[in-house]
Amino acid sequence: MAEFVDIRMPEDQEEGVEAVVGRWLKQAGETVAEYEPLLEINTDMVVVEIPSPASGTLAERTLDEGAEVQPGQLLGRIAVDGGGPPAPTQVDSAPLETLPRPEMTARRLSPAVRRALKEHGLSPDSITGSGRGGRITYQDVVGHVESASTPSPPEPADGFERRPHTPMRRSIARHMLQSVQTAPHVTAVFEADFSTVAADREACKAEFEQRGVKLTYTAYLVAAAAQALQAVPEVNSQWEDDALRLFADCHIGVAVALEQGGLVVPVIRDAQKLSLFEIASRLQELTGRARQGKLESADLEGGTFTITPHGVSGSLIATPIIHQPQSAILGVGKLEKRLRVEEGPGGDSIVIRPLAYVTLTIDHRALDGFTANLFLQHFTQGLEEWAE
Amino acid sequence: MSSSKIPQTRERLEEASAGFDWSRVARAVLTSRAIDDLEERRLVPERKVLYQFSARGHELAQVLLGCLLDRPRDAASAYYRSRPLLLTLGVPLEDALAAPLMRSGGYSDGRDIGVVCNLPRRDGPVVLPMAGDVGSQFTPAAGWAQGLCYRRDVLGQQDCEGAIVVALGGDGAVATNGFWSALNIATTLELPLLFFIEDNAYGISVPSRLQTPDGDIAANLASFGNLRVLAGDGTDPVEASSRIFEAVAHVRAGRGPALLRLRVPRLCGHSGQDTQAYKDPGLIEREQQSDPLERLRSHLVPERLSKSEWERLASEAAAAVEEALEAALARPEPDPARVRRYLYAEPGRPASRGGLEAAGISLPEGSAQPSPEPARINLLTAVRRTLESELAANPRMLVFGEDVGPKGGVHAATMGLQKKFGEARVFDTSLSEEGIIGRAVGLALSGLLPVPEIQFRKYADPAAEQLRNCGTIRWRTANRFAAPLVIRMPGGFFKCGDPWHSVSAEVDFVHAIGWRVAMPSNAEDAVGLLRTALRGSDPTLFFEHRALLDAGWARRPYPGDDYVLPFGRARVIQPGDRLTVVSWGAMLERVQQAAQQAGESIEILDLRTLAPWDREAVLASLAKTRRCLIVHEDTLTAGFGAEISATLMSDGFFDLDAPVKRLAVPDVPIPHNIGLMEAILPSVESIARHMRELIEF
Repeated sequence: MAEFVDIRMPEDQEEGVEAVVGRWLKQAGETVAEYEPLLEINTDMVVVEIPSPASGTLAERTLDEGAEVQPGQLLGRIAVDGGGPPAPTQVDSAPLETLPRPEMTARRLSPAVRRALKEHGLSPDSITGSGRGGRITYQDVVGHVESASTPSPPEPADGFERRPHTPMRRSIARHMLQSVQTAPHVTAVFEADFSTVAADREACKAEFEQRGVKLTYTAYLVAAAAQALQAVPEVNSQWEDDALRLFADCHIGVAVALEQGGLVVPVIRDAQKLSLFEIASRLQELTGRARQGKLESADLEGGTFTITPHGVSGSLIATPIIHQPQSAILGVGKLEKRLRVEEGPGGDSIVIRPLAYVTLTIDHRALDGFTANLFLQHFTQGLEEWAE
Repeated sequence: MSSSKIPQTRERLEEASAGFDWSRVARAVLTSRAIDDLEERRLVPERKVLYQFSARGHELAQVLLGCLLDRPRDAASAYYRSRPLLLTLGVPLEDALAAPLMRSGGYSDGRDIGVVCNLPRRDGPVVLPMAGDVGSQFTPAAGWAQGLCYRRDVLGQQDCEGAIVVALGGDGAVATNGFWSALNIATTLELPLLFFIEDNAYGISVPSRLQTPDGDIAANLASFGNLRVLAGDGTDPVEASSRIFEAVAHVRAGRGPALLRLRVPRLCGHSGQDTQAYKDPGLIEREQQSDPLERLRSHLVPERLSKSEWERLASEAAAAVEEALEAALARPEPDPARVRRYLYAEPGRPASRGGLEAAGISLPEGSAQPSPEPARINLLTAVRRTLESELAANPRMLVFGEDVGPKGGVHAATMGLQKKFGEARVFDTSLSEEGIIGRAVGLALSGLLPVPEIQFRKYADPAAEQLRNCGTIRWRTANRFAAPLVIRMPGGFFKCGDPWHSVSAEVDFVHAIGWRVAMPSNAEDAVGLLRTALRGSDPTLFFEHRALLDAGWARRPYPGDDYVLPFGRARVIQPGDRLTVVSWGAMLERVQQAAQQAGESIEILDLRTLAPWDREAVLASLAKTRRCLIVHEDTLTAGFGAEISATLMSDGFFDLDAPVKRLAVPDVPIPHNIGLMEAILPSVESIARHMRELIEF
């Protein structure tokens, strides 16, 4: 049962000063803390705030805005409850505008980094940069020194260890959080038959090899995705407040896991114009440089769509998070031989096929399930009827 | 001599002039002429004096005036041709010679031109610190005159009864803003102020007919209300002495201000460099014929002095000047190591005159520990309550400006104060900011604490001369004078903007030497900084941001009547380790919102005061975050952010992991249209974007 505390006009106002209720700062039913401002009283041009006499809920406002008020007069009541922490402040998480990308930062060292490298006797080549364009930041140096000075973390005495975040970890964390806060994610799952692709790969592998390029399944994924994007261009897009921006070109990012942890997403530009060989060649170059930490900012920028071949590490089905500000991300699960029932003129039969689950996770603001399924139909069909 | 009779006939003029000590007059005139002779014939050709201003032709009138300034609370506000007056009022001869030689000691310790003088006496007439700006001497004189009335009527200082102040100027000075501003103040308030115009017909080379119609200010002011106007020949000992006597008697008797125009010849160029080629040779010849020294001699010799006595006076004067010259030349050059001294008050070394400290009054130190009341007040109420508590505690404090009286100020910061403290202490002024600030300087010099309000920042423009001169008084006089005062100045954008009411331009005052500048962002800081200023010994500019006066963000509990906050201490609004943001005033609310939006660990510093500013706090924060963004409302180019940025480049170079960035209003005036205004003000979104840009760098 709540108790009530009166809110009254202070008695110490100067004589003869006319006062009216200015603005209520709290609505009835709102939680208030003791001394939190409740309303404003206007006297001539001076505004006086009336603080809450207690913590609780504003139960009643007895005077409306504009009403004249006398010293000591009742203004409202506070229902005092058992108390409790005040409601957390709402943080405005409006999306940020895209930032301009200054060039020429990648190889430059700031004064703070120069000094830190000198103090620790380090070469910049030994450090992976997390700043703009791969620039080495002061935190990168500090992080490097800290990880180097603690080669094997001590056995935790109390059941846990604290592993400090690397700059890349922080960056991924920020990006992932922002993506799920920004876009409502929905995932559709299809299954793709790689028989044709496997046969084609067997046929072409040696020739590619001779020309110095390793032909991977990922190259086929990029090629098929580019074709599907052209068939369903809504997927190759970006949500904007007043419109959907559809891209003419398919700049397809491919997630590459790094041995030291974390991942990067280098972009194959204009994939729709490239042959399988060109795609395979570009992929080899980018993943190679990614693993050596030698990607440049241009390699990572401007993607319109992303593929994550998560199956390479064993996963069957995954629902990845969209690489903002794109509208969709394609996940490809582990490629393995599975039994499949096929209908034929002679009746049903069980066959063995190289199969993988493929998922498309979409920004449901921009796309609907129908569009996602349409894309996956084109994508799986492209693989199953592969012909360059 | 009786002041009740106004002499009219020649006989009566002679009667009035008989009361002067003519030997003293002769000695002073001869001494002044001997100094000019010495400088013009020897020290200038020998290049020992580089900037010579002769009083040749003006001596007699000034000496006669000096003889009548004999009350301990009298004052004179003079200009660069006033050396004869100073010699009469007791300036040491050695100081008068050493100053043009740029030697140590004296009026300015080698800092100011030799004829820009002052005299900080305690037991006799004071000569207010002169300035080199023609016309700037008038409104401080009006302030001293109003101070005499205040000290007599409110503080009960009986020795101010009958005391007067004389403002001296030439025929060029009557065209200045300061002259008209002071004339309005003195006549509307009927102050004991004598305008003493030495009309030599030329302002350097410009004839006086271009300064006032027909070159006769006395004739033109004949119908001016509350002003006794007199005129005469400043070279005729009888006429000049009786006119000066009459003018002084009128003002001393409490009949209000007077203006006396005396025609004098300028028997030399404007300064040592001026050849007077613009004057007709016939005119120069005629001017030489009216040399007041010759007329004084024929007036005195042989009737009142024997020829030999005159010659003895002349040779004694010349010998005294020679002796003083030797002593002056023996004075050391001023010490370069001391050139930065006395920009601000130094602890335990009050100026000889000016401010409460020099008057032997000390105010309580106050407490840096707030004792908050439960309710929050807005920044406007914070200012009003602080003014109220200090007015109650300090009977020498005066609050004034346009509309601050019955209306309580256009922003309501002085609401109810006139009713409570009376019209002598809280009052409306004429619409002249030069007058408001110049008067405040005179009040401060006379040992009071003036607290003028400039209604809007932009309206300080006409007061710029007084304001800048005020800041350098202590330095220019090597701590002989100081004029501590506190200017309250609302400004900045509000709900809408415009180029007149929304100017901030605070960097102008940081650049004005000798000023302390506060820009509080909330009610508690406003109370603490304003009270510190009101109990301090330096000129202080207190900026009240219009958008903060009633902003919810700026409201705080009143921290008590004892709360003071030292200048030069930044406050960390929120700690962080990814980026330092430095700001002040109304931008801080936006900065804080932007930091929330950016969702990063951002350290926000509120500088609170810009002069002095807390460079150590900013450098310490930079050493932690390695990145810095400066956000301000003043325009970008050479805004205060540039100073901070330059300091970080120089003293924090090896801590920088990203370029120091400034976000400020571009170099355009504040527009009226709300959309236009918001387009140029740093917004929450633009601040957040800059934050991310720097963090991602």
